[in-house]
Amino acid sequence: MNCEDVELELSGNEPSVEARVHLAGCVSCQETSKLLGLAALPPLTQTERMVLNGLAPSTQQLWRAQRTRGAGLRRGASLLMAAGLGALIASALIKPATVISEPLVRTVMVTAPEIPVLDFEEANLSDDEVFFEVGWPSPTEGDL
Amino acid sequence: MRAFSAGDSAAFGLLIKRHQETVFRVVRRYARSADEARDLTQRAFLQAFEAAERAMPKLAADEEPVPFKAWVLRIAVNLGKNHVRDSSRWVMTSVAAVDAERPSLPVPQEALEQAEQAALTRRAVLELPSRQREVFTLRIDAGLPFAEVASTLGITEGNAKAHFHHAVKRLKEEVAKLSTPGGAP
Ligand SMILES: [Zn+2]
Repeated sequence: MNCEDVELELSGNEPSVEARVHLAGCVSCQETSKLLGLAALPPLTQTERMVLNGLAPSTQQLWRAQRTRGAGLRRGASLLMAAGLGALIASALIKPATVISEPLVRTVMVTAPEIPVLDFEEANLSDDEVFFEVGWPSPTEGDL
Repeated sequence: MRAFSAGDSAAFGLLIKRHQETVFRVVRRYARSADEARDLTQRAFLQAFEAAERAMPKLAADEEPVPFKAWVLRIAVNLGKNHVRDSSRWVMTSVAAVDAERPSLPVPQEALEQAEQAALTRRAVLELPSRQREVFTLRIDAGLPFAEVASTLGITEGNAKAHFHHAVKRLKEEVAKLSTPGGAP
């Protein structure tokens, strides 16, 4: 049995006879034993025992309160959702029933604008001239 | 846990009673008073119940046993660690607070020195690297076998033992440093 094995045993409750024999003759393991003793917490106090006795019921109570609060919040949220959804459905149902007022139509008398009379014979314009003016080749001149 | 999943109130009580002392022993190292230790224990259980509720459909489908004890202990260790970190006013070690509850009788010099050394050592435990501290406290405070320490932390048993060995080595060094006159910070 080496020091590391003894160290592991010392961390538990009851070291084996073999470990105790090693401990009696090993300074390093005696130091380990002392250190573990110093690091360990003292036994539970009376106050701590009393706290432990009341722990289960008080924790159950907290859990129930937390669940009720959670359920309340969920119920509230679903109510809000339902209310929102209800409003949405209601608005959809109400809309077609809404009386749509007819648009106001007014009759206005308009006088027709005067169209100037053009004398095309006097203008003496040919199609070719028009084409030349805009720079396009004349349909009578070469290929398009 | 099956009864718990069915919402059986008595099952909550049973789960708490079964594990409360182990959880309490883990968190009291980080707490300044019995009341603080109780609050931390309760929070650990509530968080573990929440986790169990969330995981229940999946676990029920896989028909795997619910590792409730491992959950609540892992949560307890984390809560303890965060509690120390968050308590900026945290001056006195929890254990000093526990000791303060004891009736003060006249004590010989040797016992005083031993108490001082114990306080130094316990403070050094809190300053161990996370994994070493977790393994050390689950073994020493909760009294878990190494196999259970390992499964709680999701590491191998060999790994847990190695962390424990390193923790002891480091504690010896720290305590030697702190006990040397002029070695304390
Ligand atoms: Zn040895």
